[in-house]
Amino acid sequence: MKTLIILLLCSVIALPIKAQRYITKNGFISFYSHTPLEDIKADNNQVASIFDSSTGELVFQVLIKSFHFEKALMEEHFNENFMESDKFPRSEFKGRVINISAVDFEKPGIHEVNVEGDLTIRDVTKQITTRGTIEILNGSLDARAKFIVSPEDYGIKIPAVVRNNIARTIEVTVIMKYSLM
Amino acid sequence: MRNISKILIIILLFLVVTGAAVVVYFYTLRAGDLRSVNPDHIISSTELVKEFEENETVANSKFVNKIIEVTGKIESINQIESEGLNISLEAENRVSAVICTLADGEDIEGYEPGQEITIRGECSGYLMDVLINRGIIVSEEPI
Repeated sequence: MKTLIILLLCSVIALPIKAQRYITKNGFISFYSHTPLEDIKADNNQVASIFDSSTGELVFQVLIKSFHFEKALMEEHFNENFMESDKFPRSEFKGRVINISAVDFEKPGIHEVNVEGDLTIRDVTKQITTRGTIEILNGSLDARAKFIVSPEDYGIKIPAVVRNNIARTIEVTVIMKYSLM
Repeated sequence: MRNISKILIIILLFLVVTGAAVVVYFYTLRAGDLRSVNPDHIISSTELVKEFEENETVANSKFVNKIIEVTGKIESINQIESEGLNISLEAENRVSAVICTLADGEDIEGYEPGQEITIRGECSGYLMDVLINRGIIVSEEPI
């Protein structure tokens, strides 16, 4: 669907003339749930993201079915019961780096950034704020962040039988290696 | 009478043990290796992208959750640290590509961009590209 690509591009709005846009289609997002009974980790290596270094705006999109788990049954429960991935196939984050003016993109090195924006999972949108880093490399960027989400906030109902196996809060790790568009 | 209760206890024990074994087996089952699985579709990367670009709804019902064997020219190889290895396959004259994340332990050695490769994997759907997961390389050598 070409419209999706156009939509993604349009999402990075209000571009000044000297717009510098970065893209990745191989971004990494994982989540981690820790309980005394079990640790659960799922990885997604197919995150699409566009970042505009002049405005700080950024967009991420993932397919829920691209999260892979170590155990087949976990992946099945995740898709069918918790995320209902046939009904809600995508998840999205739209936000911006709020201290973008403090980052000098001409200078290689690691910069601390503050990010805020809206995370949509299962058609439920909640605001997220987090800290992260952007490493400026030659023509590319390495962006990282970690934040916490609670499944309850997104209407994910965890059945009593597995409640003790799944943490109340899930740690989300984001690693993006952007290149210039 | 006593014999009957003994037999009943033995049957009950057998059922409990079997039940527990079945639960443990399914609970710990790992996502299967696709090497021994027959593909539902054998297709080129160009044709696969074309089907999704032309009608995503139809392509979703045809390909998503299905095992696809896709052949195409390697556009790029991407890896983030030790996490998952991605191979992008070109689709001629198309904006999108096919991105395949390889299964753990799968090795891309010997292949480089520009060469042809055949990957079998499970289709997750379409984002900016057609996405394939749990990929294994089935071509014997770079084409």
